[in-house]
Amino acid sequence: MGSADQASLAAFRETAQRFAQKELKTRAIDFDRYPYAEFNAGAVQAAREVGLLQVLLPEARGGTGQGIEVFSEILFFLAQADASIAAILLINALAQSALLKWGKPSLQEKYLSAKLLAFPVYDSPANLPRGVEAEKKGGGYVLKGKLEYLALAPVAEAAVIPAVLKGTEKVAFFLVDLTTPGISLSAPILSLGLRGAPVADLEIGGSEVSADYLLCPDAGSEYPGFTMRFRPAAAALAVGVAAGSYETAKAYAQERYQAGKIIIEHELIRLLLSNVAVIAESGRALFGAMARAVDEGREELLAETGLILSTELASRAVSDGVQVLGGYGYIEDYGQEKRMRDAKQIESFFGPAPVKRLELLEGILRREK
Amino acid sequence: MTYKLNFDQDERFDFDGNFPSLAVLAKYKPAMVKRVRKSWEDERNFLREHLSPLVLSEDLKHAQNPDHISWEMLRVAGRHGRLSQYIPGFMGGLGNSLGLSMMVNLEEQAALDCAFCGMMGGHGLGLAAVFMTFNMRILQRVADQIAAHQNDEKPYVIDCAITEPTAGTDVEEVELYPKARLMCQAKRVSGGAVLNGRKVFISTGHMATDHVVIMPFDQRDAVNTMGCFLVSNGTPGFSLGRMERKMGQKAGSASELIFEDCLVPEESILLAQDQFPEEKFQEQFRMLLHGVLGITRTAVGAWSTGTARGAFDRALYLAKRIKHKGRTLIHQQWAQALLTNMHINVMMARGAYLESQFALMRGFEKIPLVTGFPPWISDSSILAWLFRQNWYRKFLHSRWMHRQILDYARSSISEDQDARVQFMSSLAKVVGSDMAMENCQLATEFLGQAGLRHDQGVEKIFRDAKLLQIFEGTNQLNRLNIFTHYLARHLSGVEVF
Repeated sequence: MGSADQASLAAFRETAQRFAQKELKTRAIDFDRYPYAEFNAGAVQAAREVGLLQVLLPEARGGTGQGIEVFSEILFFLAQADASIAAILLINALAQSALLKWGKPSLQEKYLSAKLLAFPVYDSPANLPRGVEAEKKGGGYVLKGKLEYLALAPVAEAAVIPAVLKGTEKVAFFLVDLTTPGISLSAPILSLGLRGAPVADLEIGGSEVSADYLLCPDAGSEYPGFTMRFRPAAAALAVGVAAGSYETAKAYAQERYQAGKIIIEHELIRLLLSNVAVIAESGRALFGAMARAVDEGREELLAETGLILSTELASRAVSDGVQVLGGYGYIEDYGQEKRMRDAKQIESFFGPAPVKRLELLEGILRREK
Repeated sequence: MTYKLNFDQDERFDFDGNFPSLAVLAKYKPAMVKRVRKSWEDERNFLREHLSPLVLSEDLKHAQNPDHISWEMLRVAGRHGRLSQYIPGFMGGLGNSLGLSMMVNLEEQAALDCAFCGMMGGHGLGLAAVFMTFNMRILQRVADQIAAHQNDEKPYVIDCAITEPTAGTDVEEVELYPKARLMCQAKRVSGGAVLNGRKVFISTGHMATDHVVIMPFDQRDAVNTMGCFLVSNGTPGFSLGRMERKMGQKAGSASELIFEDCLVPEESILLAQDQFPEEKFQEQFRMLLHGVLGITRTAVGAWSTGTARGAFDRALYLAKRIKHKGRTLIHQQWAQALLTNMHINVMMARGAYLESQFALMRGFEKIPLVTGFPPWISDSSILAWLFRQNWYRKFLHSRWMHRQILDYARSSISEDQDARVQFMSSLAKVVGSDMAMENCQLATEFLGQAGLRHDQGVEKIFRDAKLLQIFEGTNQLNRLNIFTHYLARHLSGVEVF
C-alpha cells in the first residue's frame, strides 16, 4: 500500500466533514448517555451507506481499498464532532483487518459485511489477556473462560477474541459469532468516555467452534506488529478530540467577558488555549506522517512513539479546554467535558499509557539485538 | 472484580504518621488535638458504615436519570448529624467539624467520595456566609431548622448563591467587582428588599430549603452596597431553574436560582450595607468575602487532598490485584514508582491545606466561630442552656449586638493577617486541586481498563475532581490572588488585575 493521492484524500475529507456536520454534531451529547439512551445505530448505518465503515476493505470485499492516511483523516474529522462514532470505525476496522489478514475466504465472506465486529482494543498487544482457553476437540476448538472489557461487544455480531491454546503458552485470535450458544455478555459497561462505543465483558462457557474460526494461532507475537498500522488512526482520533476542544474553547474565549475584558485578552487564557493548540495543530502533521510511514511500509517507531505523544498530550490538553470555559466547561452543554472523558479513554487504546511506553523500549531493544 | 469502597488504606493510615504537625501540636494543645482526633475517628466510622454503600450506586442513578436528586445521601448525612457538624454544640449542632477538624474530616470524606463533599459543600458554603455576616439571629434560626428537620425525608440544608450567568471569576474577588457584568440587583422597599436576577451553578440549590443570596443594591457600586439575604423556598418571585448536567460531582445539584421581584422581609436580611451606614463598616463586604474564601478555599484544599488520596487508594487497591505479564502490578518497579508519585502528591496537598488552616487559625484567632471553640466552651451545657433562653436570644440577636460583633470582628483581623489568609488559602486550593486532578490522570493511565469502568470507582473520581480546579475561583484566578496578596504587596507599582 503506497501513500494516498491528494484527490482521494480531499474527497474523503469532504465526505467526513459533511458526515460529521449532518449525522454527528447535533446529537452527540444525547447519544453519549448510552447505555441509558439508545445506541446511535442511525449514524453507523449512515456511515456504512457513505462507505466510511468499509474504507480499508478492498473493492472485492465491498470497500474502497484506502490506506491508513485516508482513514486517519476521516477519523480526525469525525472525532471533532463525536469521538464515539470515530472509535466505532476504528475498532471495527481492526477486527475487519484481522479477518482479512488471517481469516479464511468463507469466513470473510460471511462476516466482513456484518453489522459490526467487536475487538479487544483496550488490551495491550504484547500482553494479551489469557482469560479464555481453547481446547482442540475433533475438527474444532472448545472455548471457555472470560474476557473483560471487549469493545463493541454489545452491538456487534461477531468478535475477535484472544484465547490461550491449551497445551501451549501461545495466545491465538479466534473469531466468535456472538450468537454462538454458550456465549454471554454482561450488561453494557458504563465507561469514562466513548460511551457511544459500547463495551461489555464476555463469558464463554464451552462453546464449540470449527477450526476455520481460528484466525491467528500466534497472535501473541504477530499482533503487536499488526497494531502498528492502526496507531496513526488512534492518534488521529485523539488529535481530533483535541481539535474539537480547541475550536470550542477559542470560540468561547472570544465571547465571554470577565475582569472587564473579553477573556481571550487575558494572557492566562491564551496560555491555556496554546496548550490545546499545540497538540491540535502539530498533531495533525504528526498523525499524517505516521500514517504515510505505515502506508509505505516504513519503520514502526514513528507509529509507536507518535501514538504515545499524541494521546498523552491530547488527554492532558483537553482538561485545559474545559478550564477555559470554567463552569460551562464542566457541564455537558458545550461538549467539552465529553471531550475530556473521550480523550482519556482513547489514551488506553492498546493498553495503559505507561505500559505502552514500556513496550516501546522492549520493542526497540528487541529490534536492536 | 468490583472495587468495594472499604477503606483499603486502613492498614497503613494512622493519625500520627500522616499528621506529624498535629502530633507536635498535641504537646502544646493536648485537649484540642485530642478532640480533632476523636472527631476524625467518628467521621471515619460514619463514612465507612453509612456512606460507603451509596457512593457508586448514587452516581450510577444520576447516569441513568440526569434529573435524579441524591436525597438518600442527604438523608444519611442528616440522620447522623452531619448537616450540623459546623454548628457549635451550644447552638444545638453536632459541632464536631469546626476549625482544624473541618479540614481533617473533609479530607476523610473526599477520600471516600469527592461528590459527597460537593453536596455538603453547598450547605457548608452557605453556613460560612452566614457565619461571616455575624447575624446571630439568622444563624440560630438556621441551626434550629437543621436540628428540627435532620431526620426528615428531605432534610433542611442551605446553599450560597454568588455566581451569575455572566460573572463567575469576577464575583470571587473583591478587586474584580467593579469590572463585573452583574445582572442581579436588590432594591430597598419598606419592610425589606426586592431581589431581581438569576444565579447559576449554585451548589445544592435543588436540595436547599433556604438560600443565602448575595447581591448588591447598586450594581455600579457593588462592593459598597452589598446585601446578603436568606430566601426561602416558596417565597413569591423565587423559583428554581434548570439543574445542570455535570461531568461529575453528581451527588450535589448545581442549580439555577431565579428572582423576579422577590420580596425578602427585613428579618431575613443577613446583612445590608445600609443597616450599618457608618464609615467603619464600609469594608464589611470585603471582610465577609475574604472570610468566606479563606475558609472555603482551605476547605477545597482539604477536599482536594482527600480526592487525590481517593485516587491513590483505589489505584493501590487495584495494583494488588491486577496482573501485568503474570505478575501483580504492586511487585513491579514502574508501578511502585507511579504509586509513590501519587502518594507524594497527597502529602504535598495535605501540607498545603494544613498550613493554610494554621494561617486561618492565626488570622481569625479571636473569631472562634471560624477557628473552632475550645472543648470546654463548645460542649458547655450552661452555654447550651443560655442559648435556648428567649431573653438571651433577644439580647444576642439585637441590631445593637450585631453591630458590636461586627465591630469586634473587623478590628480583630489585621491587614497583614488577612493577606496571609488570602494567599495561603488560594495556595491550598491550587496545590490541592492540581494534585487531585494529577492523581486522577495518573490512576486512569496506570490502570487502563480498570480505570475506565464505572464499577471500579476510579473513573468517577476523575470526573468529580475536575470541578476542583474550576470553582471557588479558577486556579488561574487563585494564582493571581497569591501574587496579589503575597508578592505584589511588597512590590510598589505592580498592578495585578
